[in-house]
Amino acid sequence: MNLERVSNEDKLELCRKYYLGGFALLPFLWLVNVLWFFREAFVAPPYGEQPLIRRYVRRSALGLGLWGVGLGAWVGVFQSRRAEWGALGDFFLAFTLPSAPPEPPQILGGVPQNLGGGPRLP
Amino acid sequence: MITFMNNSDSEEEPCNERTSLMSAESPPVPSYQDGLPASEAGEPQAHRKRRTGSSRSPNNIADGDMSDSGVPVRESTLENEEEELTLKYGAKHVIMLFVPVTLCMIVVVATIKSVRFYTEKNGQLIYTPFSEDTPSVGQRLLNSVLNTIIMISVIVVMTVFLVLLYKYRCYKFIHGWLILSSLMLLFLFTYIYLGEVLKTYNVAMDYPTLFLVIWNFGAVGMICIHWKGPLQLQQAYLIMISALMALVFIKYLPEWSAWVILGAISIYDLMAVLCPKGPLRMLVETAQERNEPIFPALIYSSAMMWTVGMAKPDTAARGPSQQTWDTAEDGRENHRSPSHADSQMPETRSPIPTRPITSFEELEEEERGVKLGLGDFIFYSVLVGKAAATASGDWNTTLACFVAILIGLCLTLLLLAVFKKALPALPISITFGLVFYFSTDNLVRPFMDTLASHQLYI
Repeated sequence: MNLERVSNEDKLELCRKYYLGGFALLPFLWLVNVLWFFREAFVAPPYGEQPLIRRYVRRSALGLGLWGVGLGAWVGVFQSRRAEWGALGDFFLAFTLPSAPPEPPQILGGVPQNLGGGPRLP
Repeated sequence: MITFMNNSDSEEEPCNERTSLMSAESPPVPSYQDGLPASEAGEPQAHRKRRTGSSRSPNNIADGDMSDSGVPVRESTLENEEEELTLKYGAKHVIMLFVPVTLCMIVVVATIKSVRFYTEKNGQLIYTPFSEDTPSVGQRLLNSVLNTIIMISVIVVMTVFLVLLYKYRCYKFIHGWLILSSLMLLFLFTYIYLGEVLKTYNVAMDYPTLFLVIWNFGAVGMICIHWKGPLQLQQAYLIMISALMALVFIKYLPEWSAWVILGAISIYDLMAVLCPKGPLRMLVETAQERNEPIFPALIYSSAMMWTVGMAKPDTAARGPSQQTWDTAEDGRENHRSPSHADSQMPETRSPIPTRPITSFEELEEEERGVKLGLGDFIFYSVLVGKAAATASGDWNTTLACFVAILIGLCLTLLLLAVFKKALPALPISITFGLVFYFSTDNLVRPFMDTLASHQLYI
């Protein structure tokens, strides 16, 4: 959708809907709102609905900043302290680190490396 | 299907249409797995899109009536200019389609090369029931041909079903189907994809963050595709869901069946778009009769703006040209691929020469672009992804297939500029791709290996 061809009232309506939608745990929607309407709100020559659009963009940016800080804090804490949490950490995890290191890449030619040696005769 | 989009209509649609914002979104895979045609989803959207285009014509015609006298005189010259413009900007259209197709292929190839999940064989779709683990070559070939027949017939049935739904105006059903499809694609497949990528890179992820990421990605995707959103974001989402769909195909289609299916689908595309009794063509014609746009949710549109100078046909003239629906790609959405393939509906809309309405002092801004169905994206990516996954020549074969597809796309766009009607985008590209794949894998690679081993550089 091209904003240039949309009337000002529609732009305001769209900005407002994006702003309200972001409250449904959608900071990404706020990010899109800020990026999309930034030019309209702050760079374009003033028009009737611009102050309102500015307000929504500012609030979306504020919400986005809060979410970013919160999420960053949580992810930072989680990634660094996960091992210490034991059972609670595992409860939260969707994808755990595998316990064994990933297998070494297969050598083309297919002969598996017999690193440990086969069974040895006594 | 690929068509020119001569109207910048999308933006001005009344809000209940919403078609313009949804550039073809092909129904997600579920249709395959659930046996529902994905293509159907595409069609209604294509229809809606069509309607958008036509809604402008009445306005244009009204304008035209006012400046009636000069019209006949200028018509021919304006038509010529119109044609010149089309051909002149055709090159830009080609480039504008190269970028998304390349991006989709890059995503698919990068995933195939790094995430092992998508090259492991873990079962097959119900649409390809015959297994390829047979001892004899003949049996394997037979099984793959049978798989192809089943797959193509599923696609044909779905396409016909979609056409019937459209004919009998069951828009709600189609719309609901489309939404369900895109929901599944955006949420379920993204979840699986993210899981596999995280596993590959050994990154720990907690449930709350995961839920948040998937919820955001999916919800904003639904909003962008089915409602209103920035064009670039919409295009990005369409590329991503095409890539996801292609990855599913690459994983679940057995080896030989995949190649035979690719060949058969390009033949089907050719017939469905160009034959007078083809389902996609009928869909397009029905949409044209009703003056409605076809569902755009399954079509990728590369909108481009430029300003038309004075005394040029203004956008009103676009009215009739709207029908040229570039969204032929939407046609693909038909059933063909559970994934967005519907966009390839053969929408053969014959371009109607625009009726220029003289606008002496106006500078008209017209939006022109080309629309490519998401099914085209998907099958291009399937071809290149399969080449990356299974070719022994590694990057040589992959690059050869990539170049072949782009050459095919160029030729198709050239034909589009010449014929000015909806064309199937698959046949030329897939043919080149298949030829390049098999010849590079079997002829070029051994040749180059031998040269390298003998230290002979040419």
